[in-house]
Amino acid sequence: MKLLYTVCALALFFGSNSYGFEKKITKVAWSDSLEVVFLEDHRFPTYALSIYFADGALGDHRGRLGETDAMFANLTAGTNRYNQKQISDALEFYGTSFSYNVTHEYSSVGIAGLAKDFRPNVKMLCHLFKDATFPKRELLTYKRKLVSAFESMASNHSALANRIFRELSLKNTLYQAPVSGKIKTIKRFTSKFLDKKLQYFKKKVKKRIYLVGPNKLDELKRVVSEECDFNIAGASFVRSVKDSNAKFAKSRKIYLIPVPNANQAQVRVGSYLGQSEIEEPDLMSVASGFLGGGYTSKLMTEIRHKRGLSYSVSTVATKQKQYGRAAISTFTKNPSIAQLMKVIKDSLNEMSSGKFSRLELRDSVNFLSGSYLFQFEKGSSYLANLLYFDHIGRNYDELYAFPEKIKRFKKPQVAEMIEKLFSWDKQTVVIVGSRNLLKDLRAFGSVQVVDYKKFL
Amino acid sequence: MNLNMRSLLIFLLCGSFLLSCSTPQTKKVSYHSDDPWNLDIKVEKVVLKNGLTILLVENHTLPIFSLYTFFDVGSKYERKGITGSSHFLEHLMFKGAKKYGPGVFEKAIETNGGSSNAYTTMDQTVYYENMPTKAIDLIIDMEADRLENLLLEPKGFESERSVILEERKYRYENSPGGQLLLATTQAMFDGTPYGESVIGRIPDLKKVSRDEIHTYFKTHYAPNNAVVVIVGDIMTHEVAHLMKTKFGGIAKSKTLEAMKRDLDDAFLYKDRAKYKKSHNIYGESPNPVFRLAYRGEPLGTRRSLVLDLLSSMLGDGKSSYLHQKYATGKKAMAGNIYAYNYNLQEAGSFFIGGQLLSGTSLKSFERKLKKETKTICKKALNERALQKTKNQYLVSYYNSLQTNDGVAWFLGANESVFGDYNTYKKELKIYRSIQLAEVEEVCHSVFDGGKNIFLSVWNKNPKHRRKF
Repeated sequence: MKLLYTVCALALFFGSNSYGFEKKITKVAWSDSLEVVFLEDHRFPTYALSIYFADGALGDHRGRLGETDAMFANLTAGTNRYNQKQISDALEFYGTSFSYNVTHEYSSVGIAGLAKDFRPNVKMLCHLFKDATFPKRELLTYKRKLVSAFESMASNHSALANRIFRELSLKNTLYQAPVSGKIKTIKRFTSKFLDKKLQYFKKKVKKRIYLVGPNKLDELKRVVSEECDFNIAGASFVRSVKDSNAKFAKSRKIYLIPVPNANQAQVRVGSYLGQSEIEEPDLMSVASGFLGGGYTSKLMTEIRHKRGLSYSVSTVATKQKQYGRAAISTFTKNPSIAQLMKVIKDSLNEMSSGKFSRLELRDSVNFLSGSYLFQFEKGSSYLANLLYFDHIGRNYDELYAFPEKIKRFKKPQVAEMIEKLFSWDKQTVVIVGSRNLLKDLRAFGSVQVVDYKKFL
Repeated sequence: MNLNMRSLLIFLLCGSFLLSCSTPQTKKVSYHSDDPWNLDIKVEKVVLKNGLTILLVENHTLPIFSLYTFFDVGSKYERKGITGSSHFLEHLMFKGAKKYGPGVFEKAIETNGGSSNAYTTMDQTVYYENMPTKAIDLIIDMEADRLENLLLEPKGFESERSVILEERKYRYENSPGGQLLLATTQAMFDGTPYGESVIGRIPDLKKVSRDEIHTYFKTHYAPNNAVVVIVGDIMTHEVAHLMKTKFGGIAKSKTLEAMKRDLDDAFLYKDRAKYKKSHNIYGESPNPVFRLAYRGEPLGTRRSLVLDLLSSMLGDGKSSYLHQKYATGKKAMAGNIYAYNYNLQEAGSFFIGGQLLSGTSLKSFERKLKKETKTICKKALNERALQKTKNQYLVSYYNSLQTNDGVAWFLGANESVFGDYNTYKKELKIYRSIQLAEVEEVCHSVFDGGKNIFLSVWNKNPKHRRKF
C-alpha cells in the first residue's frame, strides 16, 4: 500500500546544556493513522525499532481477558507462508530480537538488530502483521505454557505478591484485570479471536513507529511503504476512558494470602491513583524516590540499615495516561512482620507530615537528578522514554527539563505528595506468606484472608 | 548481590567487538567498517608499583562515568567454618571506612547523583559505581579509603548478618531456581573449593566473627589483587595521576602470590563428582525444574569457547534444536529449555536445563532426554546453526558495549581473569575459526559415555532435609 507521506514533519533539536543528553529528534506524521519518531544515532551499527499502538488490554473482551497479550505473543507462531520455526529462525539467524509489551492503555512491538539487516528484519515484521494465522497447534502450546507459568507462581512468592497486589489495589477500577489474563480466560482464546484482534489493531488503532540507529528515515519510509500495511485510512482510534476515578474510594485494606511453607513474608503496600492524583508526575517521582528509591532512602535506612529487617525495599509512583499506581515492595522473615509493618507505617506518617529536613530532601533530589542521565546512554532506552512521553501526552522538552525542575520542589510540596500517594489510611496492604502471620497482622486492622489461586 | 552467572559468561566468553569510528566526541572503541569482527578498544593501562592495575577509557558522549573494581577473591578461597566470607565482606565494604565513615559512602554516592552495587561469585568480588563526571575525585578517594582502612564497625556488621541470612533464603531456599543452582554446584564440584554456595552455610554465617572477616579482608584486599577500570567522560592522564596519588601509597601484599599458588593448586579442583546419579530435591515448584549436568571446562581454553557455541546452537532461542524438540508443538514437554556452558576459572559444567509443563512425567522426561543426548550431536548441529550462533554473539556484543558500564565490566573481566584486557581479540579469532567438525567433536566428548548427573526440584519429590 502506498503511504500518504508527510502530512506534517517536525524536527526537534535541543541545544546542548550541562546535561548533554538532548538529541535531534525527527517527528513525522505520514497520515492521520501513522506517525514516525526518528532518533539518528551513529555510535553503533545497531538499530532498535518499536511500533506503538494506541490501545491495550482495556479493549479485551471480558470473557477473554489477556487476548491482546496473546495476540502479540503469537504473532511469530505462524503465517500462511512460514511456520513458527522458520519465523524464529529467520529472525534469530541475524541475531535479531523480537519483543512486545501490552499495558492496559497501549501496546508495542519491537525488533532490534544490526543496521545492515534492517530491511529483511522489518520485512519479516510486516509480513507477520499481514499474514499471521495463529495456528491452533501453536496456540494450544502457548496456553499450556501460560497455565503452567501461572501455576509455578505458587513457588515464586515475590511474583505472586506483585500479581495479587496489583489486582487488589486496583480492585473496582477498569485496570483491575491482569493484562496477561487468568487461567479461566486463557482457555477461551481461539485462532479466530486472535485474528480478529490483529485485524482490529491493524485497521482501527492509531500507530507510531519509533526508530533509533544509523539507518536513514528514507530507508524506513521505503521499506514500510513497500512491505507493510500499517498506513490504513481511518485507523485513528486512541484508547481513552471516561473518568476512571468516578466510583473509587480509598481506605486501608489488609490482605493475607497464605502460601505453603513460607519462611518469609512478601509485603506490598500501595494504591490506585486516579487522574486527579497524577497531574504532577515529576513531583510524584521525587516523593516516591525520597521515600524508597535508592540505597539511602528513608525506608531503606529504617528497614535495612538500622534494623536489618530486609535485604531490599523499593518504592514507585508511576503515571500512565489516565491512571497511576503507588507501591512499596519489600520482604522480611516471619517473626519480623509486625516490626516491619510498624516501621513502614511510622515512616509514611512521618514523611507525609513533613518530618524530614531540607538537607535530606536535597540529597535525594540530587540522586534522582544525577542518575536520570543514565537512562539516555543506550539508544533503545532513549527511545523507550520518548514512547512513554508521547503516550502520556508530555512534551520532550519536559523530558530534558526534569533534572533542573525537580531541584525547585519545596519541602511542603513533597510532604503533601507523599501524603497523597502513601497516606497509611488509604493503602492496600498485601502480605504473601505463612497463615501464622494473621495474628501479628491483626494489630494493624482487620485482615482478609484470600486464597492465592483466585488470582491465577 | 550475586552476579547472574549467565550474563557473566555470555559477556566474558563471547567474542567481542564494538565500534564508533564515526563519532569524534568519543574515542573509546573502533571497528573496521568492512569487518565488524575486527574490533579495537582504546585503553590506557597503568600498573602502579604496588601492583594495582588500572584501565582507563575515554567516552565523552555524556557527562558520566563507570568505575569497576575487580578483586581476585571469591568463595573458592574460603576455608571450612568461614564459608560466605567473600560475600559477607562485599556487604561490609559499604559500611564505612576511616575517612568516609558508616553511612557516608552510600550517601556520598547518591547525593552526587550516582549508584553503586557489587556482586560476588565463586572466583571474584566486583564493585561498581555509575556516577556523574563531577564526582570522579570523590569516588577515587572513597575507593582508596575503603581498600586501605575498612572499619568493619560492629553495629553495621551485625545488621548485615541478618540481612544476608534473609538474602540467602530469598536466593536459595525460597527459589526453585536457586535450590537447583546450589544443588548443581554441590553435586558437580563436590570435594572441590567450588562445592559450596557463594552466600555460605547458615551455621557459618551465624557464627563468623568480625575478626575472622577482618583477617580475610587483610589477606585478599590488596592493590596487587585488584583491577580498577574507569570508562566515561574522563581525561585519562588526569585520572591516572589521581589514581597514583590516592592508591600509590597503599602497601602491596607480599604473601598473596605464594598463598594463591597453594589455593589454586590444580589438585584441589580435580573432578570428584559422583556421576550417573539423580538428585531429586523437594521444593515448592508445582512443575519440575531440572538440569542434566556434565563436566565442562574452565575459562580460557579453546574447548571452553567451542562449548559456548555448542550450548547456543543447542538451546539459544526459539529456533534452537532443544526448543523445537521439547518446547513447541502438540507434544511439548517443557515450558522452557536451554543449554548452558558454566565456566569458572578452575573448572566448569555444561548442562541442559529448563522447566517441565504440568502433566509431563519427570521420570519419563529424564529417560527421554538422556536418550536424546546419544544422538544430539548428529541431529542438532549444522552449518546454519553455527553461523546463526556467531551472528547472535556479534549482536549481543554490540548491545552489551553500548554503555560505559558495559565496557568497564567487559575490560575488567578480561584483565582480571586472563591478565590481559586484550584477550577478547584472541577469543574473537578463535570463535571465527571454529568449524562445525570441531563443535561436533566437542559435542561427542561431552555427551558420549553418559557421565552426567540429573537434578530436579519439584513439590512431588520426596521430602528430606537438605544440608545447605
